Amino acid sequence: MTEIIAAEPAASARGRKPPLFDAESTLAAVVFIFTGILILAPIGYLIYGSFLSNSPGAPDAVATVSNWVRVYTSPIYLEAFFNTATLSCTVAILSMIVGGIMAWIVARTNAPGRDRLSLLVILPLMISNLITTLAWVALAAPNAGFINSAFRALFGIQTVFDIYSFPGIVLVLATDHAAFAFIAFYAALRSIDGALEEASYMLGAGPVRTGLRMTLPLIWPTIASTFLLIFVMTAENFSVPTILGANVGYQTLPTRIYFDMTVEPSEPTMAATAGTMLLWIALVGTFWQRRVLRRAGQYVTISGKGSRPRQTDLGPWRFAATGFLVLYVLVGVVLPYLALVFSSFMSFLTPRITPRLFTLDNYAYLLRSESLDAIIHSLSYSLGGGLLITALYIVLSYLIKRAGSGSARVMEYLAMIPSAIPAIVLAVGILWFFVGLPVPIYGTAAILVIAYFIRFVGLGVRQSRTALSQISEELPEAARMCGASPLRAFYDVTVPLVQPAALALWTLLFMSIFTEISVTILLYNFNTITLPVQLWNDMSAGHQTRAFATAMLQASVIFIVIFVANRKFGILRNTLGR
Amino acid sequence: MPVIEVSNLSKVFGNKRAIDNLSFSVDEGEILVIVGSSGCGKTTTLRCIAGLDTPTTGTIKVEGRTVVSDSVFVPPEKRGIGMVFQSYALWPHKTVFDNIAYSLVIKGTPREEIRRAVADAVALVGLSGMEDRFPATLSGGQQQRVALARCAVAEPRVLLLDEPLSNLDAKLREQMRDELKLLIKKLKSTAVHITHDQSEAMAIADRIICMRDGRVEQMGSARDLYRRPANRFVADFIGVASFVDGTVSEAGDGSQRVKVRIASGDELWAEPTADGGGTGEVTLCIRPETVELTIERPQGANVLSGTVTDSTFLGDHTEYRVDIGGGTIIKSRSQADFSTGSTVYAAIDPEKLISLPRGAVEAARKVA
Repeated sequence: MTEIIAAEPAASARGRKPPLFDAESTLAAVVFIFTGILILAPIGYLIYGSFLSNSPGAPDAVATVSNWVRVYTSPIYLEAFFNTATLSCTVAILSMIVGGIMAWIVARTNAPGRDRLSLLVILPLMISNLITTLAWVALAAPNAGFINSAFRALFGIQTVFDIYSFPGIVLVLATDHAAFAFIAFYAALRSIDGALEEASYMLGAGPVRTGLRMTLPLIWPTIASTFLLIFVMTAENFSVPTILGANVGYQTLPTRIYFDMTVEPSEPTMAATAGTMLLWIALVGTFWQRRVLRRAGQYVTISGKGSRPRQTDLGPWRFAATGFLVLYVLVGVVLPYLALVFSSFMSFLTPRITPRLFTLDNYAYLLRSESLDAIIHSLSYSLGGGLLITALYIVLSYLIKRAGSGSARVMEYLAMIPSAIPAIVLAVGILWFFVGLPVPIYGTAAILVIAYFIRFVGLGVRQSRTALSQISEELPEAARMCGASPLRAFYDVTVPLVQPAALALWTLLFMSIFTEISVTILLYNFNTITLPVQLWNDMSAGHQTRAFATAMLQASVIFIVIFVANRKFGILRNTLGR
Repeated sequence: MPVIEVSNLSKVFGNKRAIDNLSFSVDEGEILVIVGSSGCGKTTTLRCIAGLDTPTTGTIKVEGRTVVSDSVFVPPEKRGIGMVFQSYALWPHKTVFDNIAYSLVIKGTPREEIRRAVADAVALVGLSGMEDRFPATLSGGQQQRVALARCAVAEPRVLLLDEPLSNLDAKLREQMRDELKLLIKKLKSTAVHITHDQSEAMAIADRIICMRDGRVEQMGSARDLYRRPANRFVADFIGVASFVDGTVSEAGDGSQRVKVRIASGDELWAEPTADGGGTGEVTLCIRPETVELTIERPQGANVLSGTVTDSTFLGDHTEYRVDIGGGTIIKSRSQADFSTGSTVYAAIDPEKLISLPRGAVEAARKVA
């Protein structure tokens, strides 16, 4: 007699978990297909475009292989390829040496203050290297840079160090990526079971032999995979070599792609083909990195359990070790940013510093309406867009978790693809894909937010999957057994439990989007200009100190966010896994 | 009238039948325990009753109302069933009070009433004063009690318990299972409790269902299952037993005892099989406490001679393994001391010696 109450058809639910709400499987299918298209279509367009004589959709575009022939034989592109490879290799090796030494100091020695300093060591990871590059320009531009003018005034040397050079590019990228290497090695060194090394000592091997025979082989997978990751990250870096290589005509593939896309007469299809060249580097690197990590499964000793790793007593040298960490923080963060602060108050960069040079004009410039627009755009894309993207990643991960197998597995793999694609290459594909769509989306904020969604989907899904996997299915189920409807259970139980992880992800996305340049630079227009783009344009137009003020604004926001996020949920400690 | 009626329930995952045409009912106020090893379908059965899973076919009625059938699906929150989860599923972001109060908040109960009801529930499980603590700060046993209180506060007519004691250590588990039984009786709920622990099942149950591979092997009281197991699986699962194969040499008329010849050539009097068939191949189920060991040969029938091969002293008794010839080992519990290697006589009480059908069940299963 009570059957009339709340009887729902069950036929559709047969043979699997009861759906959270009736449309769940439909929703999952729609979300998976949409995300899949967003991820795959740009790559498809990129490869398609590389076989055309003009951009896809252009009336005179015909199929051709001439782009491929030209790119893969022309000295310009081959040189760019060669430059990309040598730069990536140099940066990877140097940053691993610096990061490795720092990791050893923090994880394995008694250097005083190492724990606190290690939090500062990872700061470069959080600040975009576009801003750091500007800071370095302020510090070490030829003639006018802080260091060079100081040395000229004191010793009469023309230029001690010119940041606009190959060594300059290497310096900026290597100090930046050393922080990354530091984290990887720190985790590995900290998790090696100390008993293994003790066993080696017991068997009569000295510290050097133990290091070479025991520790080195144990962290070998970390070394290999970190090398490949930094290699790929450097290869796809667009802003640093483009700014610092311009004066000496040094070009890497991302630079070349950018010029092909933007400098008249533009050759977008050549850019796409050059993109395929960069894609090989990224794909081979990512593939090898995965392989190394899979093989590393045998190294079960790095499990995070076991006894404390041994610490080396450095004796008086421990102060030198601390000094090394301090030096890194000084060179990597403090000095460039001090120079940035200083130079941002100058009318123009000049070696002759006089009181009349100092001005607030650069900051006043930030208050004119165009700049305010850029500030509003940047903030709304990174705050609002970031929140929307966070929500989408969590919904996506939730659906992947609920679906469990089959389509979910495919979706998870798809989500990992964009992280392997160089950002500027991705941007070319996204541009063509959306220009080709009948919806007028190009030139709107939407295309930027969608592009950010695609670019960071790997990171987002990985992070929210980890967070969601810690929430047992039984928790919302228990709410339903207490009488809560599916939505109520979601709101009362799932949402509050996901919230901390969502907040952390949002912060991360905020910082990434707020300083994003590689994708934005090809997809923005006058109505959607962002702070990094404005900074880029000022820089290109030679208004360096104006760009410095913009960089200062961005850096201040980022530093405040890091400070607050570190207070609220220990973002620095979490990054170190402590 | 039965409170829960499960008829012809089946659940297929891929090509595996997790539940295979299962039917049973639970009477008002009864505690039914479903026992079986992991993967036997007991959890899926429970989740189907709760509404957290949907059966492939079959009908479930709760208090006369169909909650799931081919055409009906009542969502879990509208079934009026309480459930205690294996992991307790306490919400880590809510205090003990908020955890327990949740079902009343959902119902829109007035605040004062909620406060009173929660206080009662907290007192019932002996956690008064802990209302403001968060679950993570409680011990396993206390979390268990909160989970029970959260369920109890809604005064569900039907209570489902999914291995609620399996995460507790052995001592606490024994204590909690007595409390649990008292609590369920106090709530006057009808309960279905699942576990893989046979002693827990026997301690709590009014009635036990022993499941294997999605099917009922036997249903009955703890005494029935222990004393009159339907087959070797049940006999082995519930309690300890030695099994000796034999052939019925002298068949009774179904109610009387049968004489079984075992490999050593000895003949033993035993109860006939549960299905009444008293012929052919059987397996004797010998419970250790029914085997009495002596040095001197005792009078009467059902006496075997053997050698002590192994003994384990357990304080209140010693467990012996006795080789009765041909490598056949039977276990015995005795308070007397025998040294390993000594020759002993084992007298088995014919009233408690059960013969089980041999092979028949497995064969029938294969055909199906």
